[in-house]
Amino acid sequence: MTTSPGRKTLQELTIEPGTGKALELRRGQVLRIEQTSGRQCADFNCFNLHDYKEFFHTGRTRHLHGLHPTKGDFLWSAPPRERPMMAIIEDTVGTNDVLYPRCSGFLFEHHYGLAVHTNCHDIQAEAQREFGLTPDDVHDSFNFFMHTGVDAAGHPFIAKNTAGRGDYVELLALMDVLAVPNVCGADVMMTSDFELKPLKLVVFEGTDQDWSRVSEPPRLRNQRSPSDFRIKNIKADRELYRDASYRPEFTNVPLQISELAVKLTGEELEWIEQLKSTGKYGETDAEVLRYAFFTWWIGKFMHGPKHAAPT
Amino acid sequence: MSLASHDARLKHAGMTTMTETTVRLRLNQQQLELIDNSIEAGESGSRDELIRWALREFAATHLSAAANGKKS
Repeated sequence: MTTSPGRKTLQELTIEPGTGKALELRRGQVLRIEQTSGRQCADFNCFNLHDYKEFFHTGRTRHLHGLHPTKGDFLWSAPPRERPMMAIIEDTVGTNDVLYPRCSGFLFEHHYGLAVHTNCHDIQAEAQREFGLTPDDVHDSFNFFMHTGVDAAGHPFIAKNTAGRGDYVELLALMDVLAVPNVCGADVMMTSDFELKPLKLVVFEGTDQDWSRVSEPPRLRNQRSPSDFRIKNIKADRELYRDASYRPEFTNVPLQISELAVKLTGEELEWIEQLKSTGKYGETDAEVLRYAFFTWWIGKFMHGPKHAAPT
Repeated sequence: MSLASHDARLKHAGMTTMTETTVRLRLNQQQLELIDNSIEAGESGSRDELIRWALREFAATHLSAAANGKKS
């Protein structure tokens, strides 16, 4: 059994190429995904164990942590839940990806002419089936040990996998989850260096030291649960049909536009004139002033990544 | 822009005094809420003051960058 100082090992297994495994993890438990021989990508799905409609979201995670989340970052659930589901507490490589979608049967048939081929969507679906989920429930994966980037023209690329034997990532469950790692099925892509290898999975009971490696995540009103929903039950039929009693209740609608008068000195107006002459900030004085105000406010007060264009 | 053309422009706009010009921002209630929250947090004494502070710092950054030939 794998040892880890101060930790109790709860489960240890190896997933073979073409397979994955759905694991129940309780809050406070740690999942280690470890290379057996190196250069192997691991795709990963994650669901709230008590409400599968809350699941890991690549988009929000990408927004908050960039294209290559690593140690210290969280795996966030999709809006409107938007809670940290797991925390990455160790990463010995640092080449993870949340840009690429999972590979699929379609992809290999379309690009390679291989109609029956291992692929992460179908591997995930088969592993998740153990818990009653369907192929429609598979979501875009967190791609551990997937070495990617974006070129100067904005096109994503897959680089050579640099993970070595014994490299690993560790995820601390911040809620009870169904964690589903799989050996990426892409053997005709660069993803796993054109060879599929087993991955070792170990579940530990987390320790105080593990929790100490996690920063305090935000707890906000907008991290909603089904109790906040106007429809609280999961739709259980496939057909879409209109609710005749529906009345829209969009937030803060109607948006009321009003004019805010701002008195400017001649010098301040001259600044606006110069900014306007660049053609980058607006066509009118008011547009330039609004642009200046909000971009300044974002830079000075906004929490989280600014997503500002390079200057 | 010269001071003369500046004054002429303001006169044409019909909304100035010799020392001040009024620019009217079109904002919705959410945008005003953000401004007012900043004031409530003690960042500024008024909407006007906050926005002029923003303009002053934005211009200092972006006009100097433009003057130095940088993209901004």
